[in-house]
Amino acid sequence: MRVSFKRLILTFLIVAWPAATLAVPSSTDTTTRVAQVQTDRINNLKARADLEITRRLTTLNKMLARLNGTKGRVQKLSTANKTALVAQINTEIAGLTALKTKIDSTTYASITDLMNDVKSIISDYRVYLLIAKKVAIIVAADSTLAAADKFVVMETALTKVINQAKADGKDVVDAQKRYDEVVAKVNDAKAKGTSVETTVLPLQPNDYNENHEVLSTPVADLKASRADLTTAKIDAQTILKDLGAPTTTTK
Amino acid sequence: MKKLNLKDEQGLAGILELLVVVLVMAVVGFMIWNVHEHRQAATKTSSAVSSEPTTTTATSDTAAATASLNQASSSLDSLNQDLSSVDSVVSDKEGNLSQ
Repeated sequence: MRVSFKRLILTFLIVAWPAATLAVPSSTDTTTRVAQVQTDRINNLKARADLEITRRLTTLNKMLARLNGTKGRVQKLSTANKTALVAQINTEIAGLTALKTKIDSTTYASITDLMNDVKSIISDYRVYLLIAKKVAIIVAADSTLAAADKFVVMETALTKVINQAKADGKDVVDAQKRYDEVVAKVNDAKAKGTSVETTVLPLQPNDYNENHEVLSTPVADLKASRADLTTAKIDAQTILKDLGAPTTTTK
Repeated sequence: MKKLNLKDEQGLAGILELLVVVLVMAVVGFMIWNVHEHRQAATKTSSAVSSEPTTTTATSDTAAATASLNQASSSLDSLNQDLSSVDSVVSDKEGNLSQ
């Protein structure tokens, strides 16, 4: 019985000691592993940050190429608006390029410091939620103003038709009423287009950070302008249809 | 009926009177016809002048209005496309880097 007890203790020591050694790492090992995990996480974050910055730089450079090019919708932009947008995009490109260099070259003491830089890729630049949308909105606003100008030319032509019809003794009461609506709608569309440009062009990423709905009203205004011009078009069509071309001919 | 006798002084005077009357009537008739012709020509010209340009002006006004309406309409189509572009800017590309 005494022999058996000794063997039991011996067996325990043989089996349990190495296991215990394996199960409880030394403090040095723990520190090394924590450091490794942190390094891996930092490297992963840096890689992801690089990817996101590169994606944004590609988008911004494409926008810049379109603005500086000779094709596409952006060609409708006024020179002043185009210059302003190009400057803003160049600022974004310079900022993101500098941020990429900083993230790649810095040895971050903590994950928190790196995370702050990584988050700034979104919050300090707002490439997709603000800049890309802003370019599209300004293009549409310029398009609204260009369309309104065409409608103003049409107003002058409609005036002549109405005056002639009046001189010919035709009833122009409805035509005049519709013409007045054309003028009001075109003026409203023009005012909205101008207001959108004034509001949207100076917006910076921080404006979006403070108010995520900052672009909602300008977009709604542009859609209202489109509705105005559509009504004006229908009114003009009705005026011309009602007054029509003269049926009398010479000879 | 008394026979016309050219040797008779009274008869000669009668014939001359008749010729004068006929001549005066012919001149007056010609003048009346001439005035009438001139008036008619003037009326035709006036009517042509007044009607032709009016028609041309009215036609060209309508054509100009139609052309400018077409241009305005085309610019409205363009605006529709630009507004579609605004809606199609994909905002979820912004991503989430907070993880």
